[in-house]
Amino acid sequence: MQKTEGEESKAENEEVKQVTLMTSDGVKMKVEISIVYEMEIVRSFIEVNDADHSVPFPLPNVSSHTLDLIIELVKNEYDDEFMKTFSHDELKEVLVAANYLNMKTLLDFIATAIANLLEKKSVEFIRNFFNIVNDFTPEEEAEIRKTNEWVFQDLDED
Amino acid sequence: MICTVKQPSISIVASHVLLRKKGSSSTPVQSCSVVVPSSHLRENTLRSLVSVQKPLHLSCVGLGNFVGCPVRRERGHLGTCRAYEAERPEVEGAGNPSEAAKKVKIGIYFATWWALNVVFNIYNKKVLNVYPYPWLTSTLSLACGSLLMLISWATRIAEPPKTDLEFWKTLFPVAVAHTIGHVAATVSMSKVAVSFTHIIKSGEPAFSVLVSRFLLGETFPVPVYLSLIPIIGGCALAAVTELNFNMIGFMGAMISNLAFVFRNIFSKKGMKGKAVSGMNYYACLSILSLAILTPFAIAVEGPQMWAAGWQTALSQIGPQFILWMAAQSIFYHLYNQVSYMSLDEISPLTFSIGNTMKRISVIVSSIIIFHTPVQPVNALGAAIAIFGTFLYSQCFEPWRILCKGCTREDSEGNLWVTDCRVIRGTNFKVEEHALSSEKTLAMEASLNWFSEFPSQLLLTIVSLLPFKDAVRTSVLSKQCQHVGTREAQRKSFLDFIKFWIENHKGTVLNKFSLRLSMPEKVTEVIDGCIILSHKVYNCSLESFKLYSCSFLETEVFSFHELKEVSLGWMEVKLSAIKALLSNCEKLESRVYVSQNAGA
Repeated sequence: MQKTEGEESKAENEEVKQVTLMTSDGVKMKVEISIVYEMEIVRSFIEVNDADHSVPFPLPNVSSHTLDLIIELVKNEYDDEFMKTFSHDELKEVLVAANYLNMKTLLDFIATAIANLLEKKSVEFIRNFFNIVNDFTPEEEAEIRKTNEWVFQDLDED
Repeated sequence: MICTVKQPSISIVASHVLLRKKGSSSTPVQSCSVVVPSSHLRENTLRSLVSVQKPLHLSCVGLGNFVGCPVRRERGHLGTCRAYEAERPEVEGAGNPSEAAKKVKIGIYFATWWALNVVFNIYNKKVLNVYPYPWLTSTLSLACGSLLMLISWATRIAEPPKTDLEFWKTLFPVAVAHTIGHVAATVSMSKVAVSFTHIIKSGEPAFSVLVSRFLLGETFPVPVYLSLIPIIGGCALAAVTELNFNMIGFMGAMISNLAFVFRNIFSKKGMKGKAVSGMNYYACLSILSLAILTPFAIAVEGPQMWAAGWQTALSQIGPQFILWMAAQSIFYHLYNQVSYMSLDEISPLTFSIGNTMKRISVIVSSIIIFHTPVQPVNALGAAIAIFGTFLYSQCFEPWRILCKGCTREDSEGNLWVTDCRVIRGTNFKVEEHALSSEKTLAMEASLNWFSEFPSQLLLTIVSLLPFKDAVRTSVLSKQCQHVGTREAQRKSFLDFIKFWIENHKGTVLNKFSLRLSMPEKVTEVIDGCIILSHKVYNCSLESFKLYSCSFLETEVFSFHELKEVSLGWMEVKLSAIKALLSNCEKLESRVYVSQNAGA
């Protein structure tokens, strides 16, 4: 009985091949099932419910642009060169989206990429990158910098 | 030709209790270590050491926190990485000799401090009785202290401090507070009985709390505020019923209280990260205070009054008076010096409690010596006030948070990072540690950098950064400075270890050791260590020690070069031991298998 069910769904997947996703800006995108399967959040939904794949799956936290980037990344098997064309905002958006969609491989990939980007960068650069507001007074900051002086040396130019 | 090759080793050390049955109380301190020799490649040797140690005997429940782990490399040749993880307080009873010695040392400090203070107070009062010039006596006390220290510096009895302008700048507010407090107390004592001045001064904790609350914005738990009621009430009762009440004497004691609270706050701040320690710190304070006080003393009293008074006093008492004068000056310096030496070891709060106890001894001894008339109600007021300070110390202690993040560099140039949040700070070991590693923190990622960015992501990114870069994130913003949860800190630490193991590219490791609490939860890290040992040493492990570990998998151990095997506090299948030993033909020392093994 179970076996027949599995075969049925498999057959169904092969038939469908594509899942429609609806992004935050209301764009409906047809995405290959292999890519969708990397998105745990969507996958669990598809697998649990014998859902009608023609109904768009809503992704309220992901913009169409970000989803495009993610699809391209997955299609290119996480190409470093392609990712280097991303702006900082795009990197952050992809990171947040990968987290939301629960795409583990992509998350590791993008987090490592961001970490590499931030390596040897100044505090100001990192603040700027994450839009962090510096709420230290200059004296406080100077003191903390002094206590760990060695970590502020030999940095790259921003 | 004689050639000595010191075999490098790798050791994996895991500690903590794996197999302890629930409820069993006595568990030996456990650790496991794997020691591996290197191959004979002498070039490009990378020495590395990861050692996570069980640091302090924390007397709180579950608040020991890990924070970070530093890596330091010199010329790409020598890398040392140490991390430090606070242990849960289960080893409390294990005892640490240095800790006991520390307590004895503190006890001696306190006893000396109190004794010297009693002597000073008595001579000071004797002098003031016949020679009522408090400004001059205060000035002389400071001058005497400065002189004594200058002499001991000149004769090299004490190492002169290396000071810079920055140091004197931070010292200035301390010196101002010190001067005001000192003069106010002396003025007070010249007007009223010594016991009365000290009863009022026992209200210092109240000032300490109020200042911290309203000026520094620190909050305290309700019991602390409640304990202030008997302190203030007792002081008020003692003041109202005092037979020889004098407004100047009363206000002097109050001002002195306030000034000393500020002095302690400033001096604690000033001492942070400074190389000038207790004794020298106090000496510098005396010198600066003297410079501040002298013009005021001359303006208020003046040499003419002093000379006239001197003649009167000398005619009344005789040459003995000069001895009294000298004694009060010298003992003043000595008692303050001892108290500053102990301030090096303890927190301002413990200091303030010791101060209160000191006060009791002074009050009692002065009443006896000067035959001060004491009314029963007056004595009751004093008793309530002092009982209040006792309550204060009791209810305050459990809520104390001693130190947050610290980094420390030891003599070998290793940087230690630790975070011990300690509640109920009766433990001097912990306090000493907090003081010896004043620097604030390190590898912490905020959980809330900014709202739309899931916190876990930032932690993920920070944990992927090299340690040096991770440390730098502590300056990003206040939120980034402190991480909320123990789990997050532990995670970032473990991620760092994993990252380090995975990215270790050298072929030779001289020593690798990792000591970790609760290794059962991080078997992948320990497996990683063993895999690392295979990768680096090609199974040429020589010494193998495992304690209290549960990851004994037969297939993991295919070491052929073992010379020493030691297992303990773990359940091991006999077949596993046989498998482990069957390949080893070089065993030298005996195989030691302790309790719980076998079966």
